[in-house]
Amino acid sequence: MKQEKHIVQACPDFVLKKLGKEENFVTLSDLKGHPFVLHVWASWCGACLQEHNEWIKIKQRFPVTIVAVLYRDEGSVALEMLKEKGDPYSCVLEDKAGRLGLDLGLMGTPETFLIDKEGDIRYHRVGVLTASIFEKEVAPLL
Amino acid sequence: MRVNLLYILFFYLFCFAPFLLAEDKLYTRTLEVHKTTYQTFIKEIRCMTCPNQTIADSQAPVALAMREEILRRMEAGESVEAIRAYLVAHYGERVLYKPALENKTLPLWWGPIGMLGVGFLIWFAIMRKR
Repeated sequence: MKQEKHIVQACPDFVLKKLGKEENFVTLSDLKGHPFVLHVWASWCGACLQEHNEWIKIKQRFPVTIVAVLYRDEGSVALEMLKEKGDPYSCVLEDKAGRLGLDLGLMGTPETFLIDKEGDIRYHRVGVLTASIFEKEVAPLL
Repeated sequence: MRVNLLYILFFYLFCFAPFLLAEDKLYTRTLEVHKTTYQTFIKEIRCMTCPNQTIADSQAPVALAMREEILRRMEAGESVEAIRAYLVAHYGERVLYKPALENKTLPLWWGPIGMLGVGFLIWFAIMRKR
């Protein structure tokens, strides 16, 4: 799969609902000010489920804000999965129609982006990310 | 009083019915135009998850999202050119199943023929040596 690393491109603006919270929306402006990881996943995606433990390890080892984007998924199913397997995310946002995915040029799930404090994309990975890849490729950019 | 109200109602129906019917026809026609344009257009767009398919044939979630977004934009009155430009801006020229014939896409169009030519020259050189 194609990997795009160390790129600089503005993160598209978004207004997304928080998972399980009615009328609670998060925008890119709310998250600007410090770097954060934007992780696009879905509970129907096998590779995402396989990757889930890696995100728990990443959260334990690195003091980083991980914002998850739930891509075209049933919120209740994802909530149940997070309850069962653990929730490493600072917040989970719902991209029901997949519009943010299109703005990001998403090819599939999972995909991971590192957004800097200015709101620019500094790193992009297509496919599964492990804690060791995170340590080598993402942590130095934080 | 009731009779007067009925007269008023019939008067309004008489006056506005043709406009309502015209509006309905326009709406149906717009949908038809969208349908044809939409079905042609989605055959031009490559599925980014399954690159050997167009989004018309693919059931990948990204292809579904693209189809919905294209229809939404068409219904909002956006032109095909503007939608194509939006997709190219986010995915690059590779999102077009048949990239436009431009200087930067020339290798895509002529590359296979060029490689065939090189192969033929190699074969010709080998045959001459024999």
